Amino acid sequence: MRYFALFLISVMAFFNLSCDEVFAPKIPFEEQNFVYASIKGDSLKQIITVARSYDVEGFNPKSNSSAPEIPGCIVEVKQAGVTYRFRDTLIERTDTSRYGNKMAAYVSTELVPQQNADLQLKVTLPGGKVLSSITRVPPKLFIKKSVFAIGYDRGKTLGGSYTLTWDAPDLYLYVPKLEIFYTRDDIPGTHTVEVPSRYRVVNKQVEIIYPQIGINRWMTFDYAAIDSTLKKISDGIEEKSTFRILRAEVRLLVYDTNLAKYYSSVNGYLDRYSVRLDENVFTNINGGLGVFGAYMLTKEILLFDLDYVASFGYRVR
Amino acid sequence: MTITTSATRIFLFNLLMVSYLFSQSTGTLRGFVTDSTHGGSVISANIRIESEKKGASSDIQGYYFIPGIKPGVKTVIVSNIGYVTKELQVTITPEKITQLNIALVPSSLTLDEVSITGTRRPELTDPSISIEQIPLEQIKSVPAGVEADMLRALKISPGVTSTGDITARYYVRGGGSDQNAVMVNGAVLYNPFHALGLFSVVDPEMIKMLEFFKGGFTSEWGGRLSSILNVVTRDGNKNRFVGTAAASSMSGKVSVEGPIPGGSFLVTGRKSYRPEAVQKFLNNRAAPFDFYDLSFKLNYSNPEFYENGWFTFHGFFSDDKIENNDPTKEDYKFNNSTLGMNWYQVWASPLSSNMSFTYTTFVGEVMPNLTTSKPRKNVVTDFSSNWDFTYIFESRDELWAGFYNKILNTELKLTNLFGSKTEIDKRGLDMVAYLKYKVLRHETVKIDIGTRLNIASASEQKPFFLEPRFNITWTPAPILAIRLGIGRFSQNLVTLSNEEELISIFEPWVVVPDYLKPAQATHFIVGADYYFTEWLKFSLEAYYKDIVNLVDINELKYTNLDPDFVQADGRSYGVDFAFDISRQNYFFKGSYSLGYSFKSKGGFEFPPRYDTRHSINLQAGWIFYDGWQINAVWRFSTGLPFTGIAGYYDKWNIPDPWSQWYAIGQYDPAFLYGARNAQRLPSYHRLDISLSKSFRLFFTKIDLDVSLLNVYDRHNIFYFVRDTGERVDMLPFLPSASLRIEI
Repeated sequence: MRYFALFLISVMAFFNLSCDEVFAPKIPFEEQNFVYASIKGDSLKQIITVARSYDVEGFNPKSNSSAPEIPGCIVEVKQAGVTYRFRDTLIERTDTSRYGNKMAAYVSTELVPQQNADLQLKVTLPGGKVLSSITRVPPKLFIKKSVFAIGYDRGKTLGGSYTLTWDAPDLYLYVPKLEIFYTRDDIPGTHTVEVPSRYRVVNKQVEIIYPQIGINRWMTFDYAAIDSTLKKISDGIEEKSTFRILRAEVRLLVYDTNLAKYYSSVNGYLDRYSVRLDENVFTNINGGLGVFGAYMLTKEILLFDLDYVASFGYRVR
Repeated sequence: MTITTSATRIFLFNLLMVSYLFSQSTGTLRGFVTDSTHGGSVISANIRIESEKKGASSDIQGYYFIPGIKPGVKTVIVSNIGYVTKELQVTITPEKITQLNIALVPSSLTLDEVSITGTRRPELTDPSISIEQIPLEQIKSVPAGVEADMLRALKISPGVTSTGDITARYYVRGGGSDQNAVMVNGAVLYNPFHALGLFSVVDPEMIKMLEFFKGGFTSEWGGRLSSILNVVTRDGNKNRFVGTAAASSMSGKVSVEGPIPGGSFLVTGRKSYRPEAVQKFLNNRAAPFDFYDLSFKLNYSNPEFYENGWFTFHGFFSDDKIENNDPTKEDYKFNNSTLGMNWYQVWASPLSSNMSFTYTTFVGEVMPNLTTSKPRKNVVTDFSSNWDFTYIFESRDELWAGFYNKILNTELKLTNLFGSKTEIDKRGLDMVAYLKYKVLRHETVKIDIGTRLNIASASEQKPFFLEPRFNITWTPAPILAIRLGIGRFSQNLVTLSNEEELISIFEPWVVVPDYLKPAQATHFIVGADYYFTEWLKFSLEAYYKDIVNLVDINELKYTNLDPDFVQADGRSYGVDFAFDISRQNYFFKGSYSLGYSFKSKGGFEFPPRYDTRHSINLQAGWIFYDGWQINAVWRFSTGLPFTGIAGYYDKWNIPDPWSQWYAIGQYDPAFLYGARNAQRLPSYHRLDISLSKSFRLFFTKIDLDVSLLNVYDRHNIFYFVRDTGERVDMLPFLPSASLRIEI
């Protein structure tokens, strides 16, 4: 009986001890270096940041107060045989909740990316480690219009739309934007209004859909949306002729393949079916992580059909 | 030359004469073994003619066939565990088939004589490997979570692992969960789970037996790489009408069965009424589950209509819903429907055939309502027609042949994150023939050799044409069987799911996309069964499984030009050891499995999330007093793999391109992960105990069951929240009870 009691006590003690077990999901810290470099295709000012990974006590990474950006690096971008060395400087931080107002960054005001140019990035860290990458600047695109002037075919079909299309040989992401420029006699200056691509009714509520970033090589603007935008310009004003429509302008931002992949990996797949548990963020940085990409802006003025504009009571010229 | 030719002719003539005389002097005994109480077939009964040293085992229909018996009056001994052994006299007539149908009387006709259902000795004579036959009693002996469940009973089988208490999904010897087929009377169930995988849709009330093939399955089985679970449903009582009603803390169910002219019927139904009980198992305590399942089976056999022909009509329907009645939450709907017909025929010659038609549909749908989720819908329709033939030679060897047609249609409707709709539809025909020969003539060596022939495939790319299978069992002594199994397998219907997901709600089935090859596997299994005594059995099996062309999520898909899926390879190997002590009023079973499983993708090899290195299962049951029975299960397994946090970094989020550009943008903290699945969670162990009592009250039979899960409240980790480091544990200590009344 004594042995049995001893056995029982041992079993209970084993179970009691084994009820819980300390578990740490963290493994020894691993230092990695990151480069974020997006070269702007229509600007002289380029900014590149270099940062390192960090660790914190516990599991709240926002408790980290030591800025991860690495100053003192040599950052160079080579285009068509010319090497542009970026200046090691401090710039204003957009989010100051964790770190100070300034962040270490590398700036160039000389590099003007050329269409279809190959760019080579080389970052030499203070310890001598080198991170590198390449990318190709996307070209400016030729935008084709469904009709030569917005509103030209407005009265010919019920509903209808105005469509812009463009060709691009590679995999890019596109961000189109259509704006109308106008003046009004009562408020000086040129005003703009963005045109949505369409309206959608969801649960009896009208939802305005603006052009989204995407892979489509076309963008359609429903005339219902254009009509509504034009009407909205003079909402509440009886005398429509005090408004003058100057022009419409389409701006098409084109992310190169690397930026497109990075964007997709951070913001969601552009695919048929997405399942992710652990995020796999795209990188094209050799020796580290991050992205080196470029984008290009195509701007084009679009004409309005005079009769179409006049039908709203606006002046054209 | 002439002398040689003449000698040959004389030899051949003599051989023919001897064969003729021999065949003239023997007869054949065949028939069906049934249970005397309800008339249903008795599987694996042992039918012996001791004087002839000949015998056979009854098959799933209860059918047995013993050829080559010398004429005269013979004593036939029929035995099976759980039944009173029966001795019968039968007269064998030369050149005739004598039919002897036998009704066995259960040894537990009174409740005081409840016995433990143990291991069946006749399996020593079968050349199959890695097969388990699990009767209903064994399923019920596992302490129930909410109620008895066949898939939870599987988890204590050696080589079967799981990723948690929360899911009934199982993994067999290192294979993925979609590599397991769950079939009801031969019809595939595409969604065998209720309540997000918490338990099986198959109500135990309808089960007669589970046939569980863990690998190396013979050539009549195919279409999956890892395992086949065939649920053989009960026939229904052929002698009297019986009704049962049962209630657990989650659902209520009824079943009705009874005789019809020339046969029997069985109808079972189950409906959830208290989702709160289910929600205890889940992280999402607010999930409003609603489900039902319904099955029926009709058996008909009438010699005046068709002699020795048995017709079965069966159906199975299940439906699961999560309806929030809140437009800000997603709703889910899953539906299975199966209708089938079976014709089993014993012909005048030693030929039997089985023809079946089944029509199965599965619909899974995600309705996003006003959430940011996207609508998804998966529809599978499967019309299958199978025809199997078995011819038994006088030598007892068997020739099996079959022809299977499956018209498959899979539809998947998806909307991506950018609102673009996609439909992936695939219609095709799987046409498979198989041929196999079972060498059963030798007492000590049994061989099953055959092949499947993939004549046509629903997938664009075809699996290999031949899938050879070879199983051999050598019994050097009546208590020892040494087994070997080798086979090739293919699978062209897969689920598009991420195995890394903890709970996967929507797992659509599709035919392998055109740009991918069907998955293929090769199994090598060697093992032994040893009966130390009549009631103590040891078994040991070692396996190696090589898998190629697995269809896996492309985790590096960044653009629409990247494929959704890529091919991965895998391999697993290990050893399963088990012992089984089965006595009249107690049993004790145990198993230990050592397993290694790896997947390789993109040149990188890693353990999948279900890779379990060591696992131990112990199960005991004891009928200790007046129908009271206590059962206990203790399970242990080493921790599952996970990917550790190696640090953090500030991830650049591309800002609104029209407001602020440059690299400044916004930076948000993100995890820096270590090597994939290189770490292990703490080990898992749990003790469950159930106490049950059967008794009669007036004209009813009542079964009471009280279960205590996780008796010592082990904190088994399910997952940890990376954002906070918080751990989410699996089931805590949880009592439950169920009541069953049979009239």
